[in-house]
Formats: sequence, C-alpha cells, structure tokens
Amino acid sequence: MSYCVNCGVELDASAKKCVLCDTPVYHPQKEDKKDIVAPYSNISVAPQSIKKKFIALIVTYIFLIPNIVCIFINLFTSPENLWFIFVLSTSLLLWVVLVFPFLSRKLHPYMMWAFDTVAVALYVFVFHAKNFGGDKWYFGIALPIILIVSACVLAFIYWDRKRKHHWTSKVLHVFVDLVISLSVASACFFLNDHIVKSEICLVLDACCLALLFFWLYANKSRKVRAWLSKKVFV
Amino acid sequence: MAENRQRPSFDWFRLDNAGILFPGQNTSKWSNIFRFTIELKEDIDPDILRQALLNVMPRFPGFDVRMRKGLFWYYLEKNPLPAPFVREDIQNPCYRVKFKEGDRFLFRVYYHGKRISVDLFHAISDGYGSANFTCTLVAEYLRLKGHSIPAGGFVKDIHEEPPKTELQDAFHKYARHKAGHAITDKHVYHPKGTPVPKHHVNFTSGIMSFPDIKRIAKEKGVTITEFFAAMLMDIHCQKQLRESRKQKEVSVQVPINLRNIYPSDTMRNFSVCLLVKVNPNLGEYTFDELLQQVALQLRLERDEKKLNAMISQHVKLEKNPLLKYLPLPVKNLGLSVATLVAAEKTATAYLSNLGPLDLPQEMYPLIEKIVFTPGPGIHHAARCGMATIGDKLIFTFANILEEADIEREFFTRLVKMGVHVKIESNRN
Repeated sequence: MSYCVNCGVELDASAKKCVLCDTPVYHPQKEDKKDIVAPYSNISVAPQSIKKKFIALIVTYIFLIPNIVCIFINLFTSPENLWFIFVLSTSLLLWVVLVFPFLSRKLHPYMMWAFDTVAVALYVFVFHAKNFGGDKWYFGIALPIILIVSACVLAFIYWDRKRKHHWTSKVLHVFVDLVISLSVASACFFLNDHIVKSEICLVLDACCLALLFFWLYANKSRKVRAWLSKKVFV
Repeated sequence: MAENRQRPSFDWFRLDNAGILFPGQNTSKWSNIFRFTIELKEDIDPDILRQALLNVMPRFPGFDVRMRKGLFWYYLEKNPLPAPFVREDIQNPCYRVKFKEGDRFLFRVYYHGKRISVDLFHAISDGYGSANFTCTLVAEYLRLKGHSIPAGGFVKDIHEEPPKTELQDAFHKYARHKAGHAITDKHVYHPKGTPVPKHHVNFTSGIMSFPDIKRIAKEKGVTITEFFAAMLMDIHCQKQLRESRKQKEVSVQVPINLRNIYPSDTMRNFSVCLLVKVNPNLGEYTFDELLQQVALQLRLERDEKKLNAMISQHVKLEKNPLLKYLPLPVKNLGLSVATLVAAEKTATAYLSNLGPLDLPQEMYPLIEKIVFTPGPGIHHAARCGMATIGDKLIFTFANILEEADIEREFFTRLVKMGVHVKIESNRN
C-alpha cells in the first residue's frame, strides 16, 4: 500500500508514479511490480481510419476520366482550337493542391509549397496569359505577384515551424504578409499602366496597414485589450 | 399513429428521442460511449464470461441490435449474430464505435484481471440500462462459476420474457407539454490544456468511503450530487481565475434519471440534463455559497413540469416536419455542423450519479467495486461518473487533457476533509 507524499491519496499497488502529480513511487523493499495486475490494460487499440491514399487514388481517376474524354473530343472535332488545355490545366492545379498531398506518405511543407507555387504559376500562364493578357501581362504583373505571395507563405511556414507561436502573433504575421503582397501588386499594376487596379491595391494596403498597427497596439496595451473584451463581450 | 410508434418490434425499432442524435455525432473525438465496470474478487474466466453473455443476450433485445440507415433516420435492427466476442481490456476504452465493426454490435465486453467492463454506445441505452445489463451479465457469470444469485434490483431474471415496456421510447410516451422550453444558454468556460491523442481519454477513479461522503454532504445540508457538483464548479472557477482571462460562466451538467419521476422501466435512454451555473463576474463565490447555489438551482429545476417541458421540446423538434423529412445525409451534415459549433459549449463539466446500486444480497460479498465512467467529451476536462456499492463510492473522471490538475485538486480537497481516497487510472 503506497501513498503519494504530495497529494495524500492512496495509490494502486501497480502504480509507478502518482497519476495526479507524477511523484514517483519508491519502496526500498518492494521494487518489482511485474506480478501485480494494473487496473487497466496497457494495450492500446484504435479503430481503422479511412485510407486517405485510397480515396486520393479514386479522386485521381475521377479527375483523369473527363480530361481524357476532353482530349479525344477536342482532337477529333476541332484540332485547330486546343480548348482541352484549359480543362487539363484547371484539373492539374486542383489535383496538385487538393489531392497530391494525400498521395504521398509524408510530404514536407516546403515541398508542398514548391509544388503549389509551380502549379499556380503554370496554371495562370496557360489559362490566362495565353488567353487574355499575353506575355507582358504575365511576366510584368501575374508572375511577380505570385512570387511575392509565395515568398510570404514560405516566410510564414519557416517562422511557424521554428517554434510555437500564439495565435495573435500569427494574425500579425498574416497582416505583414498582406501589406507586402499588396504593395508589390500595386507597384506591378502601376508599372504596367493599370492605374485603377494599382489604386485599389493601395487602398487595400492602407487598410491592412491600419489594421496591422491597431493589432500591434492592441496586443501591447492591456487597457485596449480590456476595452475590446468589454465591447465585444458575448 | 402514436400507438404504432410506441409499439416495440423485436425485428427493428426506431432510435429513441435522445438516441437519434448520437449516430450523427459519432466521431473520433466524441464517441458517445460510456463504460460500466464491475470488479470481482477473483480473476475473470473469458470462456465463462462469453457463455454468460450468450445466456443474457435474449433478455436484453434492446442491446441485441445493429445500426442501420433508413432514408430519413437511423434505425436499430436485430443483430442475427448471438453476441459480440469478449475481449481483453484495452488502455483506451470508450473509443468510437464503427457501425460495421465488432459484428455490428453497439457495445463491447472486456475483461482484465478481476474486471468485467461494458463499453456501450449511448444511442441504445443510458446509465440505468447499462447498469442493468452489466449487473445481470455479472450475476449470470457468477452463477456459471457456481454461486447462487437470485434476480432482483438491477439483476434481471434472464428466463423471463422481456417486457415490451423495456423497449419503449418513454420520451414520446410522457411528453405532453404544449409550452416550449426556451434554450438560451450562453457559451461557458472550458479549461485549456494539452489534448490527448485521438481515440484516447484519461480515466482517473477515486475510491472513497460512502458513509464519510454522506456525512460531509449531510453536514453541509446538501445531497452527494450537489456536493460534488459544487466542488467541480469551485475548482473550475478557481482555475479560470488563475488563467486570468475573460471570466465566463461556469456550469455543471447533471443528468436526471426520469424513471424516478415517471413510472417507466424502459432500458433505452430516458434522462435529461440539467445545467447549474454561476457567473464569476458577479464576484468570487465561496464554497458554501456555491453549495447553496447548486442545491437551490438543482432543486428548482428538478420540477416535473419543467422536465416535461424539456422532453416535450425535444420530441417537438423530432416531430418537426421540416426536420423529419430531411434525408439522412443532410441531417448528418447539419448535425456535424451543429456539433462543431455548439456541442458541449454550454457546460463546463458533466456529473452523472448512478447512486447506490440495488443488487441481490448474495452478490455484495463477491463484488469489489463498480466503476461508472462517462465517455470522452469534446471540450470537457471533467466528465465525471459515480457509482456506489456497499460502503464504497467510486468517483471517476474522464479527461481529454493530459494535465491532471482538476482531478488532483478534487481528490486532495477530499483528503483534506478527512476522506480516504484510493486512486486508479489508465494514465501511465
């Protein structure tokens, strides 16, 4: 019969420590507890979870079928107008972003980031650059914006993986990323003579900047936090 | 029409008014499974236990079922197999039930050392039903071991024809109220901590002297349930204060066995949960003030008319034509969203008291203890169950957090009051 010196409760004969405070059980004469049956077994059982890889494979086949059908219809009916590229590029983007992570056993976040960035850049190139804007639109506006957003995401992943952060710091980081991305977007639009779009980005940028400063201030000031919790009390 | 709905059929029957919620909420985090354990004074023989289970099953047609999907609702169908296999106990009891596993039975029977445990899915029965089933199973096991155990109390006569009233949906039978019962509870405080891995829950049982606890509660002028509910409330209030965050209301959910109010002997769900709460923003409550608050609130709410309004509200919701004719997948989707948004948000802790178990006198010397454990919650760090056998009261915590500070505070307080507490747990 052992008692916890910390909590004052009697412990089970099989216990190696007090389950309430982790104080180890030590008895100089009785060390061997192998023969004593613990109140609970030490076998852990978990129900079979759904095999994500299997579902991802099925979804891949579902993605494949319409694409193959589209390619054949396009090539046999109107080979001069290759519209199947749009179907294919959209499916490929969705597949890379939504299905591919489940197919690989343990995909590194940086690898996932790289795949997603390439997929988005290629998708925009195929779907929009060729159709609406041309090369100048793509290399002057779309690609820089994709790259800066991607760089911000990479910075966020790196920062988040380094150590555990409070959610308020995460929100702050997102605001900083938004400010940077919108600034670059605004500059890109301005340099390519899209003045209205550039102004819209600037307005959004200013809003994000204001929110960023407010968040920074609210985080540091106990008074503002108390006022906020009073005002948004549910 | 109303008569048809109540008439039990042994081939299939509808889920009861409380049970309809559970299949849709059955997730890895919220299994809605609870456990009833009886510890005997000798090691368990699994073959005899299996035979006892086979003998007992015909007496409990409500347990001999499998879950099936209809177009609009789930329903229970008689399982063609005789009984589930008995298994060696595990470290993580109450993990979610998968309707196609375990020969499709909705309960599992385990043995370990001197213990027989039954993990039961809440859709088929509540604490009272599971206590009846497990006590009858253990009585039959003891009979097969050569003891002479008569039927009586929680031990049913396995040779009698199961009365049809045991399969009755008592909610529908007794709901009569026309006035609605408004549900306007606020979101309350939930302790934060490190969550346990999926399909796990930490159980900590405290075995204490029933007369000691009864004496302390009597000195304070409250019942044992009220005393423990106030203790849980006080511990959570103190913990919230230590966390120095926005002070939210603290509430304890206490299920009420409606069989004590209505003359029903149903083995299916027939209980409602009452909420007792305090608002720490009004000031710091002393333990005696909390005791008074809990006792008054519980006694005020435990009014037949109010309870009937509650069950009528639930029945009304089930009968709502808009909900009734929604296809099952849509209902499940809605229920998943509702679970995500609102489940357990209005209660800080849960406390279920089975009370002293009425068993044949011949059984008492053969039983060491009885442990009643509610299953894991989504937000609750303290889902507590207690059962009393002879002069032993066993209070069990089911905690989804790794930290055991609530349990420690609870049991050390009792030690300081002069109560001897013995601790058992599945934490290693």
